[in-house]
Amino acid sequence: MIVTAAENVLPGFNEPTIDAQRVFRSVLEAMAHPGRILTVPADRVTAPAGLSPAAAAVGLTLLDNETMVWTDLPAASPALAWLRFHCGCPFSADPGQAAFGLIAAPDAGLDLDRFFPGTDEAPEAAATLFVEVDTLQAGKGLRLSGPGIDGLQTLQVRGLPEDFWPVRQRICRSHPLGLDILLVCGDLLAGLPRTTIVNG
Amino acid sequence: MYVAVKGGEQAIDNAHRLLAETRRGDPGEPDIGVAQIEQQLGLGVDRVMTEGALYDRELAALAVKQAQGDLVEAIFLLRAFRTTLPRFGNTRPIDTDTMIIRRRISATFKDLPGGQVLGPTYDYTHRLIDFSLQAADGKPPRVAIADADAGAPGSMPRIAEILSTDGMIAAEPTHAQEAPVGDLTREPLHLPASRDVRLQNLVRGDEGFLLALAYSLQRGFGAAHHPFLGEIRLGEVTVVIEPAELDFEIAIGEITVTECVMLNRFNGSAETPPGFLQGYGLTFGHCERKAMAMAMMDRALRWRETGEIPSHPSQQDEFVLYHSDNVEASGFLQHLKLPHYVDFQSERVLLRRLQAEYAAKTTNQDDPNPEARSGD
Amino acid sequence: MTIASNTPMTRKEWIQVLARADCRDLEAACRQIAPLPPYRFIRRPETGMVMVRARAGGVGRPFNMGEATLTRCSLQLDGGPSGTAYILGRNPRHAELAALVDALLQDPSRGAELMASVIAPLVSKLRSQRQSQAQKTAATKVEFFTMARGE
Repeated sequence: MIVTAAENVLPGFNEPTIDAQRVFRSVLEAMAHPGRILTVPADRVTAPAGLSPAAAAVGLTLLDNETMVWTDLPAASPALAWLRFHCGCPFSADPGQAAFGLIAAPDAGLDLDRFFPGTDEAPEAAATLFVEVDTLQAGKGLRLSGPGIDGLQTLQVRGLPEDFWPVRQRICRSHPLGLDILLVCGDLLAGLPRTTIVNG
Repeated sequence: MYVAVKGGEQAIDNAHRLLAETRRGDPGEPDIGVAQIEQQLGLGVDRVMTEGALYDRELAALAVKQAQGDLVEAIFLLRAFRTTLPRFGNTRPIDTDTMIIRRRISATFKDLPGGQVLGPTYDYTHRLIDFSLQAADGKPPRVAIADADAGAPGSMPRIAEILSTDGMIAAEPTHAQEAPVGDLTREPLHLPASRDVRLQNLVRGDEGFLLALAYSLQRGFGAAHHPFLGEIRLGEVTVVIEPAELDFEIAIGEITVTECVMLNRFNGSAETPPGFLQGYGLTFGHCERKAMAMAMMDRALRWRETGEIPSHPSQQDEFVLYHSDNVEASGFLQHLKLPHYVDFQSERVLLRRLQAEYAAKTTNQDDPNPEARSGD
Repeated sequence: MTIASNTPMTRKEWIQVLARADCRDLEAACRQIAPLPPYRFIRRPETGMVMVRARAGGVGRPFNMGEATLTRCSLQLDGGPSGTAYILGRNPRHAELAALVDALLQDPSRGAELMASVIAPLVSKLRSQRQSQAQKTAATKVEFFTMARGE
């Protein structure tokens, strides 16, 4: 077990209940309106090195000691120690066991197929992924449609591997199975639930 | 089908104010303090903690005050409160071997190693109303104190340990540490339920329900052989956790628990030799009757291990486990107070039709004596 | 709780003493350590629960017995060590003071003094409570005699 010396850990939320509620609301908004870019109220948390403020805030909000997490963060990173301290979440070496995936460097070989897409009996058991991207902007780029989108939503994303979109599409085709994804960048957040259809 | 009704806000509000006044009672009497309830109505508080599945004496005492002493209502309040708190983790399994014992008795061995201590008990009291308590003078009762060197009790081995040395009892099946532990607060009950889930259900289960079922077992509805009280222990056990930020486990304090082991013979099956099989009861605080009833029920539900044939309700996990929870039971029963106006209306329509059909049938049959039937 | 009296106490041991202490005693002890050094919270006092586990038959398969309320706190002295507290119950002040004393005890310049002024009295109080309880219990020790019938 990696010991987390508390003196190296930054504080978490200032007001855990209120701050987590605000962030949770923005995650709800993001999932309800896929592709819409939201600013996470992350000003009240100092993100550790290796995590964007949005990922840090969402992590504090959604992870706890009962959520298994897989991450590509290095084992000795302050970010990992911070999550372990504040969320108390267990980490798995196997993405297939994880309820949440925290992907800090998606362009370094992210393999979506290794995450659990749920079962027909329990589609809600599918993994939710937080993916750090280089840019997240509205405007020309991807065209998103599906539940939660009135017509068409456009989104520009940089920093994902080339096969990300075709692999996601293949996985999410087995509806109701699939992966729910939150793209994060700085203090920005965009939701990509499994029902969203994405066209390049 | 439930049909929403509107209105009544003012009346409900006023009813709750009236409840508050009723709860307070005569303002000429002093208001009862939560600490007083915790200290002086401690066994009620213990039951609320056990069945409310939350160890917090002060909170349980407050719930008892708020519920005017209605313990099932207080249990509901405690269960509702716990849903507002995050869970930080699990403790190491408590070690009742190292309990700081305040009471330990056995009905099976009079000279069991470690001896018997009666502790604070209602056993051997005459159940005569003690009017001296009514004229409370505030003086603390006098208690007997043994010599200082008699203070530390010796080792008190478990009854199962003693019996297992001469092969009279099957060892408790142990499982690998990693085996997931079922949790009814996270996953609904699935049948057949494994023993970990059954035990959790029984700890939370209603004392009255379990008592009645255990009684039915004793009276012949399930227990083929006489149950024996192996041991009851009351005392404090240490709660140990391992926080992620420390590289060692820490004891964060003691909680009071009651533990009971019941022994029931079984005569053996093709696979299992004859012997005693134990039932286990465990509660927060001092809940001796509950711990005994729980141990009886745990034993009764272990028929799959012995090859016994379950033939009574007390041995059926579905019957026992689905009906043991008094918060669920009370909610379902008391929902009948909610408006069922439309359901009832449809019931009346149906009955009117059935009566008409019945009347038509009896007229057609040309009943020779219609007067005599109408009195049914 | 067993506390060896002649070896120096480990951090684990004093954390356990602080968790069991009466908050009023801690409060009084901390008033003696004036002025308290400045510190920042890593985790503000926070109340939650821990699931208490037990074992079937006391020794067998683990099961979930029910939860217990728990309050925790982590803080760091300015430029110094950090302290942690986990206490049963819902008293945020107790958790804060216990974490603070834990941090101070790790400071070599004042650890020994605090050990004598804060921890030692807490230990002896816990010991005497336990001793008195044990003596009252021992007074109810019973010997039953089996009577032979028909004599």
